[in-house]
Amino acid sequence: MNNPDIPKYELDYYFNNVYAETVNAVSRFVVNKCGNILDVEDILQNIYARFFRRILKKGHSDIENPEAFLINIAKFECKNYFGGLKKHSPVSSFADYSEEQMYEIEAEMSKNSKRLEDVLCNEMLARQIFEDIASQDSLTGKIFYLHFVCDKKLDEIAKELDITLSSVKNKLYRTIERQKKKFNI
Amino acid sequence: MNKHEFYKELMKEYTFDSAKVRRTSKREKYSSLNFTGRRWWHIPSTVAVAAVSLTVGLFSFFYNAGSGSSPSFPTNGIGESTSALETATLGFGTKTLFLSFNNSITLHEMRNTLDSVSDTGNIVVGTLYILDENNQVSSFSLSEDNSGLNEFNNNSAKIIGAKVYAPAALIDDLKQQRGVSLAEIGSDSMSDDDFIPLIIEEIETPVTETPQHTDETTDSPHESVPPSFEKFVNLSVPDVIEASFIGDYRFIAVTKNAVTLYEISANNFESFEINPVSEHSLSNHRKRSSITGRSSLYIGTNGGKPVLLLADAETQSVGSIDVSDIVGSGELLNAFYDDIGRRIIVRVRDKENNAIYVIDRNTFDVAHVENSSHDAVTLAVHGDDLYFSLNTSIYKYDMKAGVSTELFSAFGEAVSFERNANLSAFVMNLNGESRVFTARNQSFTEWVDSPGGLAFYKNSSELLTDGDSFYTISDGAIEAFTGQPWSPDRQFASDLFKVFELTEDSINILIR
Repeated sequence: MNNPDIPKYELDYYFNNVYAETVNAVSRFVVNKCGNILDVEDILQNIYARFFRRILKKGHSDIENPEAFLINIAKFECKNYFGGLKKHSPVSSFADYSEEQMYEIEAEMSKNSKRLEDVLCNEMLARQIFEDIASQDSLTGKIFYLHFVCDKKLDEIAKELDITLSSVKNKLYRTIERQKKKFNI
Repeated sequence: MNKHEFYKELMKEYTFDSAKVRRTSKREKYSSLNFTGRRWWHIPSTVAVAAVSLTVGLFSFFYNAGSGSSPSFPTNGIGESTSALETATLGFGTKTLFLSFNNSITLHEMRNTLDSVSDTGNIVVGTLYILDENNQVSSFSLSEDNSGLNEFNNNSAKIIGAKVYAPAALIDDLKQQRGVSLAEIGSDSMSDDDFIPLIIEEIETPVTETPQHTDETTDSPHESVPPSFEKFVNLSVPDVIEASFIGDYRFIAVTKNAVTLYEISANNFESFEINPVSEHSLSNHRKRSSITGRSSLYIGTNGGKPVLLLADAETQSVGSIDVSDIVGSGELLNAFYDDIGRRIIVRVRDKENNAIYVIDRNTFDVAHVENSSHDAVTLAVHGDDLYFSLNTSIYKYDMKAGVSTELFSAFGEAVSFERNANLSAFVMNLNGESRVFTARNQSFTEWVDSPGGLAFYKNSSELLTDGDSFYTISDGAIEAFTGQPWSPDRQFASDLFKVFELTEDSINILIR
């Protein structure tokens, strides 16, 4: 039975505020823990749906820290979704990028290009590029998200994902180089 | 834009849809006015029943319609028709419906309720269910040509239910009438005496298992209505003809010459402000809803120029596209979204020429698909491929390459096409046979016999019907479907508000 004392629009107002304040942190947590980045939306939906049902039923006056509350739900949902965390096996098949190579790639990435804007506007192509990243392996999508969206440094990502720095670099830069040729970007 | 920014935007955009997650996380299963909600129902102790608390799907209270004698359990007829209500609510022809009303209503109120759905006399009342002074229910049969209703002149009778005959297409509207608590489709095995109108009274606290009730609940059972059902917000809009929500807090109001986007803001939880966000001139307009059912597309004119006006539920905004370049001196016939809402397909007629254009909503690129003296009709869209019929042939147009290819020709034989609601597939009916083309697979099913032809069922994109039976597509073949027919639920753009009614110069908005 829903809590009859709280009007729905009040709950909605509260939920929307909490969502706006927490979605970045919660999505970062989920990306970190997920098996594949393609599962992130489903898991986030489960988390916030569970949260909404909770406040609908019992209100929110007892929730002091919504972000912590949601991270707890996220832990539960990730565990249910994947049945436990798996340790990633180290990547060892490619030679490491040298400093010079990395510098060249980073320099090129800093150059402006009109083509990139056009590609983003082309939904089908943009989605293909995204799915190309997401379908690589379970780590590449996470690395891209943590680095580009969450602005994490590569060594921080290596620590979070419990893999070597060279693995992070390989996955990131090889994908960027490959996509440069495949999609002409 | 550099690559850092590119990948940032790409990963943000496609990893998850933040607005969608926020929106869908809040969706409950609405009980509407049907008996599927999570409410507690109270049975008045004045009725000769034992007061029990109810949970979803279970109810046990007793009337014996017709004789006013000792109560009994509902018959199986109720169980059967309740499940029928959940499913096949539409089809063809006229259906027998058993309506239960929220509270007992007068004859005048019942007429108003039915007239608000259809005032052309195509809802015929067959039987009335009336509550007498002993709270027993009697049925009163009427002659089934509507004259019976005119002859029933007891204006003070407490009517709690009715058997009506109504076109299948009106069933949803009847269900959504505020005074109607339940609308059940009658099965052939049901007689008038089998039907028991469901009296539903809602209170804010659950009823425990006791025959004793406090004065608060028994003295005024019909007044214990949750505040949310009576809270309205009113906006004065002279000459308003239509209003609909395109987001939780945003709605559009349409008058003869303009479409205005409004936003509701709750300053606190006691009062609301409604402010206009944008106004768009639009005359001579017609509405073309998108396949999502929540975004609206209008075609009309602005300053004499043909325009498309998009009220978009995804972005919660209103925008217009001047299409005078492609319409020229012709007429803008029709416009609708493709299956993912990315493109708008436009039909233009200029004297004897018919043309199809495709406008990309993001880039505003326009592709000219076809120009012919025959009627070119879009059948399906998938990715960069658009399928259209021209005369008795089907063509595939590659929007990227700008090339048309003929897929099929009936060489002048009488062929008809029926597309589904989201333009993902269409049926071809030819010489008593039918087959389905699925745009994603770019292939037809095998032919099946269908003397009357097949069409998609209501706004289902997968279920077909010939008017009597149902079919579905499985492994490239059309197969008989023996389950309960379904159609996607209509989605509401706002979880919080609903346009309740329009008057000549105002909009009444209900707070859900």
